[in-house]
Amino acid sequence: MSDISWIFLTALLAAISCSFVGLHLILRKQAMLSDALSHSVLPGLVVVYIFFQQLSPPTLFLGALGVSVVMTFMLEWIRQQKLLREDAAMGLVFASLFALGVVLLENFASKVHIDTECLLYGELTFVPLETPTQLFGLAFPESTFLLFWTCLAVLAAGLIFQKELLVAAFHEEMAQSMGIPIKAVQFWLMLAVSLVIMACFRSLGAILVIAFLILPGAFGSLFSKRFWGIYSIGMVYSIVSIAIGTYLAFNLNNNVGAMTVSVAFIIFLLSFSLQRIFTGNQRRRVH
Amino acid sequence: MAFFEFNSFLFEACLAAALLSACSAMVGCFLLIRRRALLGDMIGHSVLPGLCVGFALAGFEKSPLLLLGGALVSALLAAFLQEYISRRSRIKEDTSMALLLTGFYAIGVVLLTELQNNSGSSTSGLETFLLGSAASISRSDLYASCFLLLVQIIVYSLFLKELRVNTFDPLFARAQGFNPNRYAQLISALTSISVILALPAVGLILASALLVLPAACASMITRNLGPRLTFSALIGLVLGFGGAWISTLHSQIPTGPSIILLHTAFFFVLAFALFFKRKFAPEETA
Amino acid sequence: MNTPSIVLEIKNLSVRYSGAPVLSDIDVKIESGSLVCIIGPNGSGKSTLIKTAIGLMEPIRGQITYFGNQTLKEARSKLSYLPQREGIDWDFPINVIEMVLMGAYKRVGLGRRLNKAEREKALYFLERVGLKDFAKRHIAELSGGQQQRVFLARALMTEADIYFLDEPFAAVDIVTEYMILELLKTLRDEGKTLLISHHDLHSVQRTADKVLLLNRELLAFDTPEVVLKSPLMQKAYGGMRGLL
Repeated sequence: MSDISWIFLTALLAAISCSFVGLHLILRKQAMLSDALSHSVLPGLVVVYIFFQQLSPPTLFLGALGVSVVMTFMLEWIRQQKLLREDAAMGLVFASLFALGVVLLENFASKVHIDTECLLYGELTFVPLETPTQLFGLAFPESTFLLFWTCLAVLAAGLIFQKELLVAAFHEEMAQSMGIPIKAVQFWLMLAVSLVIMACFRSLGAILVIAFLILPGAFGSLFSKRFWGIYSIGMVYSIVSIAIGTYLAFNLNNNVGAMTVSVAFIIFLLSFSLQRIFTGNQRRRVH
Repeated sequence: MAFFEFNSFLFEACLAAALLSACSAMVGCFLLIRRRALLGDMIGHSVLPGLCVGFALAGFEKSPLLLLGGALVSALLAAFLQEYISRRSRIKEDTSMALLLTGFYAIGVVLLTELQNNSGSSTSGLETFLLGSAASISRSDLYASCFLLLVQIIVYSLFLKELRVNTFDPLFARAQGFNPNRYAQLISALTSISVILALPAVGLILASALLVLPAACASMITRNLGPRLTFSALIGLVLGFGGAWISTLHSQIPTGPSIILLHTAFFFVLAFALFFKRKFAPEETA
Repeated sequence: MNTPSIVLEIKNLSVRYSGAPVLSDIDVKIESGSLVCIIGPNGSGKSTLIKTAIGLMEPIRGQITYFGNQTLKEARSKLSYLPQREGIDWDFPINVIEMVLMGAYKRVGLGRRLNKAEREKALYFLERVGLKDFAKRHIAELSGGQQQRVFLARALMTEADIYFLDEPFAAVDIVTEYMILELLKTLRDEGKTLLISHHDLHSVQRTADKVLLLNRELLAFDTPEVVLKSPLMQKAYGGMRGLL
């Protein structure tokens, strides 16, 4: 397969898994968890590299699990002790974890091959140059390989428990009364987000991945009120953005991930404005 | 006028770190009570395109004012869009915050990459902006943060009651004839300026943390807005200085993380103190 | 015998919200020193009428005149608003007396401090609502009924002539409701004008001087005896009469 196909495939897999998980975040009004986790995964990544020197599906999973457990534990403790509110607690926890991650990175730089630039905005173009891993007899670049498995895992879990997850998102109390373990749901979500962020960090970097998580769902919600409606519209939107973004990035010699997100963002703003102009006050929320 | 004495330079850098921590600490109190603790993160990420434009218009060495001006415009635009989108559509506040954060940031990265491709001159100054370092704090940063701190002290002393009613009960405030939006915009502007000033020292990622941490610690000490502002500023000052100082002593710990981790440690100290207080004096509601 | 003056005149008022009409052609004159209860089913526009009268919403048609010839801007310092209780963040770092003092902020002026006289007034109003001992307590420690009373003390603190109260009795216990009603009647006796949106038709009968029956349009404006027995009630509440 050609380089550009790998790049496109990687971006696509990222879009499929991220927008799915991200839509759950949006429905639960926890979109900023994507921001928090994008910072919190750093120590997880560093620790995985220190101990295993590489990212593979099992180590990736372990890292994500570690981060989720630590974060959940800290947030729960703060909540139970009634020390801070959720948004403040999240701010505190992710800032400390990120700070810890940076310190670890500085001190173990030799062992850990994480480039700070890479962390901040990734580089999809390098994906085809990564060490290949075997799958179905084909050589997959590391990132694509990871994303493939992440995508599978996340979608499988999400689809099996679709009904329960949606009920928990819309009305937590009702879900609880139905016997749905809401704490487990929250943990699943945190784990899924950590997984996709860590899987994407090389290709997209920690911050651009937030776009893949949130933008498709946000765009889709402008046009649909149903889960699969939002998701499908979001996917088309993602594919279009990736296509235009990759094309522009190659022609302007720019970062593929950043260009894709910029394109997606501009499309979003345009659609939003056009919608406002044509439907006037009807979309106004009660204030 | 540079002092060539080793101690003086470091002292100034630590002092600057302390002052800008205090700035963020004070305005952070208002973000905290409005449950907008993560707004600072959005502002921190959304300055990037403005910074790049500012840099393109005048080199880094020549005009830090243009850089800061660009950053401010960028941040305020993002804040405005965020509020507008969440007010005028089905999209909720947290979603709009996340998408603006990442959208602006991406545009910033595109511009940054363009700059790196085209300009021969070093853009590494811009990279330091992203992760921060005590060494990049200049005299003018020191003066600027001092000035901002004074401005905040004056504003809050004069207008605390107006800020209080407009943040607590905007409907009642509006019925009384106040304009709550003005006050919200004031807080946004002060937040943006604080974040931008903190960027050189602690970097983009952690500048937003300074908005949350001292205020969070202060919220555990007092339940009243006035004292909370004071405590927050003091905590920011002391821990900001301490964190920067530790960073100069141990080169493996960068300034930003050092200040953050010091705050976290203090937070846990307070948490345990509160825990014991509740155990042994339960009738006093904390 | 003095004929009471008209303190609030609403002419031809229409209000839309998100494109849908909420109030249509409201025409009413409120006399000074009267306690008017606005009643109507959910969605009838009671809250909207109050919000428009206090300037929180803009009508698409019609006008409101205060004290005979004043605009909203001129009359504002003499108006007071008690909003609905939800939407308040009870975790806000503020205690009871600080909340009452908010009523004086506009009066005292931008940048000025509140002096001892204002604090004494605040304590006085807290006493009137029976919460003097709670002055230094944090607002999160109050029960629903107590919170409502603090709201009322704040409204009193504005020392206004017309009071607009939006659902002041929502989710409030009987004792508190009685206490608030008595307080409102005292205010009325002191010559203040009160406009209250209310759900419970039984207490309306005991308290109100006039009742304003609303269901997007003004259906009736008369004494409780007349309005509550009129067939217009059926028209307003639809088939829900049996529940009343």
